[in-house]
Amino acid sequence: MTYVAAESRRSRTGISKVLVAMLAMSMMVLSACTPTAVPSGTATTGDTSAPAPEAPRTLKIAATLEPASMDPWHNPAASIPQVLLYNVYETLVKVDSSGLLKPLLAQAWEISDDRLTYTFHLNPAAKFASGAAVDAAAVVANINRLKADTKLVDALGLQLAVVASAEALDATKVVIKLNKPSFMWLYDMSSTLGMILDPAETGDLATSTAGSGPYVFKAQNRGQNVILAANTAYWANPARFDEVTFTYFTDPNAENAALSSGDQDVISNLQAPDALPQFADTSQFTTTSGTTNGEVVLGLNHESKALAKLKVRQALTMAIDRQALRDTVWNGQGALIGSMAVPTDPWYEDLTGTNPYDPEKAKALLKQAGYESGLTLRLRVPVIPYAVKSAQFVASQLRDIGVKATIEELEFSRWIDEVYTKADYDLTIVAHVEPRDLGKFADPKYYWRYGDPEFASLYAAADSAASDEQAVAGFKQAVKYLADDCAAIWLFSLPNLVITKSNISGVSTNAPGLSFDLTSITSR
Amino acid sequence: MHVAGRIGRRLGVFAISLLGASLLIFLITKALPGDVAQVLLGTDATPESVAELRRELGLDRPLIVQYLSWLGGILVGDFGHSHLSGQPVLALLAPRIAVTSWLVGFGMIGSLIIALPAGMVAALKRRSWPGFAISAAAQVGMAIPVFWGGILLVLVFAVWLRWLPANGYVSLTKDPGQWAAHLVLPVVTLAAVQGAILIRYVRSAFIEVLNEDYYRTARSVGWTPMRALLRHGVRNAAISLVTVLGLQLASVLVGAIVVESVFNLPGLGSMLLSAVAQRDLLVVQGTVMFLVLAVLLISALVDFSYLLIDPRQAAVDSADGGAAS
Amino acid sequence: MKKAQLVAGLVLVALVVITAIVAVFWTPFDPIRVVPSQRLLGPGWPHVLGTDGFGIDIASRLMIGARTVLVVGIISVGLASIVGVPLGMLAGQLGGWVDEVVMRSADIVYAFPAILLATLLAAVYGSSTLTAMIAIGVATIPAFARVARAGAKQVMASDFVLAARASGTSRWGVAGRHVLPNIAPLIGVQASVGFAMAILAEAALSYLGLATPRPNPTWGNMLRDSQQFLVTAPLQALWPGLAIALAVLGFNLLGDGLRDYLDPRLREVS
Repeated sequence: MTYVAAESRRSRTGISKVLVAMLAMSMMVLSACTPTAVPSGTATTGDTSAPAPEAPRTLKIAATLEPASMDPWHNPAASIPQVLLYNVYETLVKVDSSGLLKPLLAQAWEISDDRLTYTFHLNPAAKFASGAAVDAAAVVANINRLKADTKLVDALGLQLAVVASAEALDATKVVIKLNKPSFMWLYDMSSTLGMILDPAETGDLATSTAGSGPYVFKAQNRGQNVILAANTAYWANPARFDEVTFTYFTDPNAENAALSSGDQDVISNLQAPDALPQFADTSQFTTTSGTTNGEVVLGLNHESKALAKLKVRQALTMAIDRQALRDTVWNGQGALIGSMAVPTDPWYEDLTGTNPYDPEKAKALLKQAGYESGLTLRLRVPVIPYAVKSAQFVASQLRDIGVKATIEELEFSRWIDEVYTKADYDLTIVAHVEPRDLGKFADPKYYWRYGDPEFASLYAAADSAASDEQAVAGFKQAVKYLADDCAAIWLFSLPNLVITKSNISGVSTNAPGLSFDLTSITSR
Repeated sequence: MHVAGRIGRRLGVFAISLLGASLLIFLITKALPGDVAQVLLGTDATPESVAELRRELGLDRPLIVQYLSWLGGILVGDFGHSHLSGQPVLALLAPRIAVTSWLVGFGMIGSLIIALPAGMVAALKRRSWPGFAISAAAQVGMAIPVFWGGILLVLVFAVWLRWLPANGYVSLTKDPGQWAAHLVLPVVTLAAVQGAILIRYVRSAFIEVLNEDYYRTARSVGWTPMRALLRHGVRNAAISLVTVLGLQLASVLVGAIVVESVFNLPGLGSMLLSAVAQRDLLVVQGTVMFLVLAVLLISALVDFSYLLIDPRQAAVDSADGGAAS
Repeated sequence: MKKAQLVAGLVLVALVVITAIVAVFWTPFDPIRVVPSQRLLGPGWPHVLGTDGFGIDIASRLMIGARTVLVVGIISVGLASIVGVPLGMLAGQLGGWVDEVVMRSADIVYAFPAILLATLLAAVYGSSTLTAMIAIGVATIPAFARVARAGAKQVMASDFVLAARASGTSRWGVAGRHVLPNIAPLIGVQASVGFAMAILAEAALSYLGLATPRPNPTWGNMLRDSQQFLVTAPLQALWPGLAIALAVLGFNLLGDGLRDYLDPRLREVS
């Protein structure tokens, strides 16, 4: 199976920066005329060839959950790739806003019929911020580095396990062999796993970066912000901004106030959707409402005595009016989902009808399971807006069917220690923002302790299926299994609510990956 | 001689208090559950990797050794390194101390600007309606939660009128204009609440003066109330005022922590809250140490200033161990 | 004027106390049950003050908040006085090194803001009303100790105590028969002021998320939750803020009124 990439190219150009800029601008005009995809991933919507302004162009983005470091290989926090992915580090392939794979560092790739051999043709123009080419040797060096890294984040390690070898055939051709077919692997390579680092970089990754993207890491002020600067030697469409600052807010109301008062330009994802009317004035603000990969999951600890029983899990699911929850807690924003898949996943189907809201039936099921006199469960949630508000709603509705859910709000580090690592909980709520992460249910050591072997085999079979169609069908089956087995309760899918000042455009409607993609954003 | 002896004794007391506080701080932070190593390794920590990281960070040494090594470090200015970012704690704290100092400093000055004139007027006119009005306003100002006041100010001046930024901070060296703009609302919030509290003390201090002989004498000789008050009252009221300011510091710091939270100011308060949440123990210890140091230092300075203002009065007051709250 | 102050304070405090007592037995609506269909209603009937973002009746939540306020005040002031007053009396009566030790310890505790103690307790045990109460109580001990000490010293210097000591009354006797009764009014005034400070402290801790967890309402966390509706439903922020202000005002006025009423001389020590 082959994939043919775009025909237009970016040429490495001349000497002075002005020349580069002019050429880039004329390229932009050209690409707007050709009906093909653009390798660097720049959106072709609304390309205006405005002359380069003199004043430094800055973009100030308000975000939440400050990253502890700039090293995504040793720290699993999603806020790290939010800043770095596609902006500072690039990958061989990129996921676009419809969830399809597109070229980035690789212009084209072929997959062998047995789906074990991937051949990537790198874009010869691609280079790192240091000036060195992103060549096949660099890609191989990256894979080998990850394989040799004993401290690599577990999730990345699991994704990498399927890679058997990587070899550079020539300067722009890389062959990667897998030890078994994996549908997910190429998608994983479009995310954190596939970030290509300059092999010459030997500094501390936690505080410096060495990528090939349109921006480079400039500074991190702990407790405040992360600052990116434009990569003046970028090999494709130049960065639209000279400096981009991600400022981290712990209080969603402060975040909203900052945009309202003009201090910030963008809210990367609105954490208090009830404040949407605050930004209703379209002459001042633009609101983008789309989807993310985030499933807000009410996790059930399958090691807990009561929750091991299917009838109890069904009862709990039916006790919660998920539409009312979404409307109350998240102001009606976000799609309702019935399992661990979001509308942009290829295997998504609407499973919200499984175990619908029916408190009477829920009570009956509880009685059948032997808990007529009531049940007490611990609902331990991290202190994040959607989690604490959902917890209040859930506890109230469970109370209506005779289940007492005691709410404990834990600081995030404590939540990681007690709930995530030690599974010391009955119920919990957290959003899983990594794309295509249904495979987590196949890991019996994951905090849900869901050790169902049938799901694991369904998942494994789907991943190593012989064709994409078979894989998608297989995942569909697996996803349905999760819903029928009440592996968890899916409250809603986190919407992509991006609010910007009205002079900013190019924000993609959906956020199909972990990246807050700066390459498409412009300001007038 | 007597005074020198007292100063020396007071310094000794200050040092012992600091030592006691440091021990308390150390013990409390060690009681925190949750593990720095766990947090650093994030969601994929294994027992082996956690144990190894604990060894690397020196968390497996006996408690007494950890305490003494921390204390020893402090005495030479080394507060250790943040477990999370590896930066020296002092370097992390320095810009934070600056922010909190601006906030607290300007807040206290602002509160005096509000309280001194208002308190004087309230004392002079205490039997007529301006006096009642000021006292009533002070009572109301004291009763309003500081964060509520802040939120309302943000709503009016930042969101509706857009005159000032809603939150955040710009350092003085980067842009003095923006630095001032970002400090206006937080300082006003803090100053208003503190000012309201102070008005009552100022008022009662000046009322005391009004009852004193020297004031009555001045008045009988023909001085206006204002002049008499200013000439004699300020010096004598100063002791009570200084005492109150010193006592207020702890509550001002509390107010500052809350204000920093409302306005997203990167000061010691927000550093403390996030360091505790992240179990960054050395940062927590360092931050608390600074806060405690500030309060103990101010109360020592308050005691010293008694000696400057009025050694006689100081003798009486220090026999009481400093004024009661 | 002084009388008006006292009366106003009494009225407000009585309002809070009565509301709190009633709330123990009855509230117009369930204060924690979510009613999605009734979200964000304005004041009217039957929800006199309207409903919040979860559809819960605000008046009912305010009433429960009053109950919490009373509990927090009583426990933290109680804790502070039970520990602080004996210590202060001891320091005032015995003097010497006992005095030094007690006052320096009080200084050390005083240097720890209540917020810090609450943060640490919440980090160890999770935030709850209990951790908030303990933190506020411990942080208020020095204030009670100082008042008790200063009052004790004054009483110790008075004629009738000197006479009692001369005639052989034991230290305990003096403490029980002379010191305690005489400083009791001072402690009462401090308690009233302490109550007001406890209410504000609890509100601040709730705002920072370090006190009563969901779904139980306190005025502080009602204020925190109302922030996101400031533009769409600003009245939500008004009611709990007003409740806090009135309660604090009431206790402060009561304290001041008591102070002025009891004995003008004693004003110096409080």
